[in-house]
Amino acid sequence: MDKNDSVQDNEELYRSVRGKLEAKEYSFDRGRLIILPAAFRDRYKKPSVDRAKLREFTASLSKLNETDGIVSIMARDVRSIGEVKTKIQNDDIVAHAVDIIPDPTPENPAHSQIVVNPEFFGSKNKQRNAFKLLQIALATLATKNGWTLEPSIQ
Amino acid sequence: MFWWEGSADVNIEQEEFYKQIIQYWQRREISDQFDVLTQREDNWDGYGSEKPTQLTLYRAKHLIEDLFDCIISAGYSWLMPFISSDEDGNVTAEWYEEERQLHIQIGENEVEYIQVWGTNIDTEMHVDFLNRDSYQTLWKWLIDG
Repeated sequence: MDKNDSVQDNEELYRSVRGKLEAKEYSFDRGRLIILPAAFRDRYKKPSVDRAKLREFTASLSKLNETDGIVSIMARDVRSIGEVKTKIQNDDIVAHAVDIIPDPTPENPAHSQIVVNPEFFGSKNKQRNAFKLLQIALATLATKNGWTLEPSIQ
Repeated sequence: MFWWEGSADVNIEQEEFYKQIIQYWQRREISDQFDVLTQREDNWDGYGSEKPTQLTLYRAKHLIEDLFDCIISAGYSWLMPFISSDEDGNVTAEWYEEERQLHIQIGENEVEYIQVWGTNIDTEMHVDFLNRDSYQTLWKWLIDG
């Protein structure tokens, strides 16, 4: 299979979530697991995920740290998040569609990125606020699915 | 609703006493969460995130304590938020209640809130600037829908 092929809607995507509670990427509220938006933090606003089928559905291969957990989201659900919007001059709005693109590396052929098209632009605050909505949506999807692989320490 | 509410074994004075004890511990927990934030340095998370400034921390703590007082004095129960900071050093407070989420982002110059009731950004999230007049409306939405 060509590793650069597009990510299909029915593909499962893995995201590594830091296992240490003080990293505040997940928590528990009255016993209920909550994946926090910080779990999808990314300095370039393109959160990395692994295509499960290219990891042969072995979630542990996607852990960035030994103690991390893994959550899964479906590509279809990511694309259904809707459009992230940025206000520009005269109250005009630019809509950014959410997508997943393959970004294989020699070390990790499953590596992909969740991106918006067009890319975020404008002031730092505008970009952060738009990205925050995407983080919340991704975290909410992950919370619904729960752990694919639980962190090994809390 | 607390365990003693409606109990015939607990009179009004005792009920008020229990409430005050709980509120004391809730205030302590808010303060403890801010103590953690004051310890943060730049790149505290390994992702290059900025630490919150003293001004942001001051504003955020004041706002959350004011929100707490407003909610309690209106007769509502308080739900403890997850308090942290984001990439740019803004303080974030997040509440999760069934399908509803309330996120507050507090920076040096502005405070915004995000209401969330699903995963669709277009139809299930609402963003606006936060002002004191909206505290009770947002809280009622969070706990009652």
